[in-house]
Amino acid sequence: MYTPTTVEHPRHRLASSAAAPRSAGGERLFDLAFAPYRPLRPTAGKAGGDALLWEALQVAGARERWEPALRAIQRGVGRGRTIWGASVGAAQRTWRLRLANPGRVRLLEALRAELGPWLAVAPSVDDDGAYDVLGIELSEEVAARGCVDAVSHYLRGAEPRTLEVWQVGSAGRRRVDEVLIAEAKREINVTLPRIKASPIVDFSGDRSLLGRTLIPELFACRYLHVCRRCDADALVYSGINVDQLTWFLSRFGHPAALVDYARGQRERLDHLLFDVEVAYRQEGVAIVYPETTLYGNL
Amino acid sequence: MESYKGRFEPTRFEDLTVTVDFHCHSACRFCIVQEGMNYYKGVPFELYEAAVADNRRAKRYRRVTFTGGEVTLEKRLFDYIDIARDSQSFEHIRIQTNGRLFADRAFARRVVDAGVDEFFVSLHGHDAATQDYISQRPGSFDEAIRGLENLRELGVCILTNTVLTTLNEPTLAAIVDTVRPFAPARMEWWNYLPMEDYADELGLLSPMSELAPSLREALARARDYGIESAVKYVPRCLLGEHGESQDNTQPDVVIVEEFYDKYPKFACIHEAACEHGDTCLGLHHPYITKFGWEEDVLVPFPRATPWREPEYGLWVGSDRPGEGTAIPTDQPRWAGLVVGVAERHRARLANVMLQRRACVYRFELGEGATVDVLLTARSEAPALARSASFNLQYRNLQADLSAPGLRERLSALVEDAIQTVIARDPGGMHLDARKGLVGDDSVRRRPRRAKALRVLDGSEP
Repeated sequence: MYTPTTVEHPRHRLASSAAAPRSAGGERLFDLAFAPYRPLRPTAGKAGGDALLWEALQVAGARERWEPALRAIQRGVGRGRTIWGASVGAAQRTWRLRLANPGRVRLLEALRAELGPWLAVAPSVDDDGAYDVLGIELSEEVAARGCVDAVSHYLRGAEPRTLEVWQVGSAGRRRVDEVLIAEAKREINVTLPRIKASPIVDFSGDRSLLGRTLIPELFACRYLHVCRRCDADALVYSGINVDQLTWFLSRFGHPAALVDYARGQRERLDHLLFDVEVAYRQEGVAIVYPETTLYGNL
Repeated sequence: MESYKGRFEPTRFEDLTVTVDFHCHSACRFCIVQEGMNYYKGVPFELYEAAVADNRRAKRYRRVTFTGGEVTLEKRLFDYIDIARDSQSFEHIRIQTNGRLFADRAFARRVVDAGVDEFFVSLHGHDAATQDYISQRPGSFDEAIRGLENLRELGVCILTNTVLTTLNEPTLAAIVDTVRPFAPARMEWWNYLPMEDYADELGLLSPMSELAPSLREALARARDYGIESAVKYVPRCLLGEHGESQDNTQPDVVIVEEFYDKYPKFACIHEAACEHGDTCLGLHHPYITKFGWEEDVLVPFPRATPWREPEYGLWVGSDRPGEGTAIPTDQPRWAGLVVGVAERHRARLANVMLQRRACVYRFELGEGATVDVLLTARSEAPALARSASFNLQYRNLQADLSAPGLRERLSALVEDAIQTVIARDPGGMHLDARKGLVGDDSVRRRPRRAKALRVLDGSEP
């Protein structure tokens, strides 16, 4: 049976999958670090972790295109181990998938087999299974080409509670992200120096910038993921509630229909925790947000 | 006059505030319901009557406060007062006012004779130039001062309220001098909450680097004059030796529910490290968005106990003085709903947490296992069970369910607690009187342009 794995954080150690919390429908709930959590409310009559994904796809007019492939992952190789993400950015809308690979098996090969009817997945990449999480991104561009050129390998970092993210494709292998994960409030002394040591934002020049990068409305979450990328920093607020989610969707320009859905379905979603990501960089005296992402369980 | 002590302790389940209406003859630049005045309705008179009738039975509140808008403009003001007085269920009747109409001594006397014994008067400037600029009504300062003089002569209890903004921040101590002759029992200092100007486009938010020193000077002066102070929405660590004056509690307020949708929320980057993290709200979100987290300015008080994420927000009361960290109340009937349950399961009722919208019973079964049984107002929302007054749920289960028999013990405890509440709930128990004001009936018909209004959140790209 699948046992979730994650970065080296005390809370993220599970005794066994049998002890992992399940919703009434048998759905195992976990966060972006694949750490399980118990539903906040009794789950009878509630929506599944994938409900928002289908709605986001529907709103974007992409459900027909992607649902069959995503359902195949949901039923097959990705069962109980997959996070989905819906990103909104200036360039295009993307759909992210992260699949946990605790056994370091050749997950990419299995994924290729699953997605074969729709897409080729990184055909130039040899799959040695040497990654803890496998990530891919889907978009209209990918659909047009019929091919996902590169995949992401998430690896435990050299330091505790860190991840390295490598993009692997025909162009080779390059590190695209370094992530530090810590409890949002209790370990702010760990995350704050990392946030402020940014090569992207000059916090020493304007103290107020921190108020627009570490978003106060989202700070009341369980974990912060501090991400350092090539062209932007990002913070993942892991474990926000449905009310914060609605605020996030509205604030960061996610489709109004999705905001309405989250608001209207509040009673069916309030047992879930959500993870959201806000990428940011400094442009002059302003903080801009090139991309934001909502995550959930597939 | 009765001494201050014992009268205004923040036992907020003893205070009921009734928003009579939202009309006002001043136009304070910081008013938190400026736009709301156009469409929020006051409490329907019948609902107020019902609340008083309930208090006559339950003796829940010791004080009723009438507020608005400017309540002295209300045509039925004396009807409101008469009902409260005749119920003989309130020890005090208070009016929150800008004080202007009390410049008419006959009116002031009539209100006092009707039974109002406490006057909570807003004074936001130390002189006419400042106050009239803020209120946008020339003469309003002089009227308020004459009103205070009349109230002082009538021997009633006077309290003052000052909203802290950039408009008065340099002269806060001077306000103390201004009100000193009226011997206020208390001066309250409320930091500005932008509810309709989230981005602070009006520039009313005062940075803590400027506000805190000025406020400390005012607090020191009030102390020197023997006037007690209460401060809201300013971090405790910035109050210096006046930290004890921080009081972020609020009474129960009967008001249109929508009002609270726009009420700012708060955060502090040091919450988990600070001894007062459970009661000090920190900074409100609009402030943080504009000025940052003040992470180097705020200094957490070292914690004596481990921090735990509050599951339900701030507690406003506990039935178990000394047992929990919440402020004690005298509401034994809430604990009475589950008396005996813990003992039947070799558990412990660790706390009874009363909030505006929930009553939470926290049970401990030893070895770190805890579970909360939660009562919320009865509705059609999903719930494990319903009693006459409540929806019942369990939440916040903290336990290693792989421990032998623990799951069964927890289940039995929750089941027993729920069945016991159902059996003992007499019906008519209220958690949140505001619930009567939810819905279309609570607001006036909005003008077309008002539909475009929204709360600016300071986040426009």
